[in-house]
Amino acid sequence: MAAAARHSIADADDAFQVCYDRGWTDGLPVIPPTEERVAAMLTGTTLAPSALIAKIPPAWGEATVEKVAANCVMAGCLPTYLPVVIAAVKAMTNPVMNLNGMQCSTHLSTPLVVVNGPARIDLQMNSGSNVFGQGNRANATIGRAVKLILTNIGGAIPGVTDKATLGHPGKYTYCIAENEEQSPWDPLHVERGFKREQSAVTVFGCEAPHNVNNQASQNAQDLSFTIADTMATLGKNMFYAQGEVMLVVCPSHAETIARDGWSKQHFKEYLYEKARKPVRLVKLGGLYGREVNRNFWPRWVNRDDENEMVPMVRRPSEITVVVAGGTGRHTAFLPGWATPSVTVAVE
Amino acid sequence: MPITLVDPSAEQAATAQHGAARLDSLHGKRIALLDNIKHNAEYLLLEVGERLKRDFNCETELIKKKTYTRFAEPHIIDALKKYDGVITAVGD
Repeated sequence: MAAAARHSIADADDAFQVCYDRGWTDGLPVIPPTEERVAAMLTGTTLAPSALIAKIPPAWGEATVEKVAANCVMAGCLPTYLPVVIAAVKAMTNPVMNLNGMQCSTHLSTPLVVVNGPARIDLQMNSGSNVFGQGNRANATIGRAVKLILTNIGGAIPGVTDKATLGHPGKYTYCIAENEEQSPWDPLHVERGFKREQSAVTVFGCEAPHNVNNQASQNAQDLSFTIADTMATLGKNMFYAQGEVMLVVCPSHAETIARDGWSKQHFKEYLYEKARKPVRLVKLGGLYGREVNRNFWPRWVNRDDENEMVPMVRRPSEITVVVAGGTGRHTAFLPGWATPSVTVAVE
Repeated sequence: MPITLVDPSAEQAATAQHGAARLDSLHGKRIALLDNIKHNAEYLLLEVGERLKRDFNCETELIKKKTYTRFAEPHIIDALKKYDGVITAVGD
């Protein structure tokens, strides 16, 4: 692929203002992507600067390694973060994610990046307290680089091609690492066929985290019921479009559930059975359609029975479970956008 | 000393997109109404279709995509080629 264009600006110019005026930023100050800084960023990979990683919708701009690196510079990444960002670009452009639709939708989903494996340690990522919050350079800038790439290369311009009614704070940055050390279960990437000592990135299009506060329950059954009840609320895409949801379970909640002998699979099966709403309520709103093809429910759902309980997903495997966070008893529910998450190796 | 910035944007994607050629007239034309299967799209398209029939003697047909978020499937794109024009609505 062709090299990125170069733009010469006068020494006296405010480089941030130039970047902002060109529409390259998220509104916050960026590190200007000078040739020298982009060259330094490229030391983080053995890939050629001209290598094409993917084309990103809706503009189908070409995400070359050099373009990705320029966005990483602007986000504030270190060169060692570049392979994680490249993996995220590969994952989110997998056609099953329907990134084109997600980028342009009126809905407020945006890709979340979840990092597994040794890269979390090598890059000193945060998988503990305040995992969705501020303060860690790798979490913050890997997530921000992905968002700048979606806008700058993908052409998702707020209010123009990105038609989100409300938007999402995660459109600035949205990246966590799994707390593998405090999880009683296999980490996400191992569950998906990768080796524990491999690093992998999972990308999932989702809403913001919704809190599940349960400081009282001391057994798996009661605790999981609280989580299922928080999940099953009207207005979620899931009750019409199905798809995938994610739970980011805090270590203390995970320990309570596992202590009762529940595997991750048992936990998912429970949530699949309990996180439901009756047809009579589901049809009040959301995306409910009069015709069958507007409700992507499993065929066993009796649409004519007002009391039939509609599941949020078609099968337990579409409930993705990640353990993260620090001390405390708060889990997060992340409703999806009706498309699956994708996991790829960090190379 | 000047500073050289590496362009982080798509560059070529900034090229203006041009819409399809306009029909010389609507009278008697065959118009497809491409429905993304959201309710509000259908309401709008059916009303537009009625007006096209009434005011311009058009022949119209409502054609439905399978899902509202994805591109129309290839067989639908092929079917649309039989028409003089296509009107679509997204329906949110």
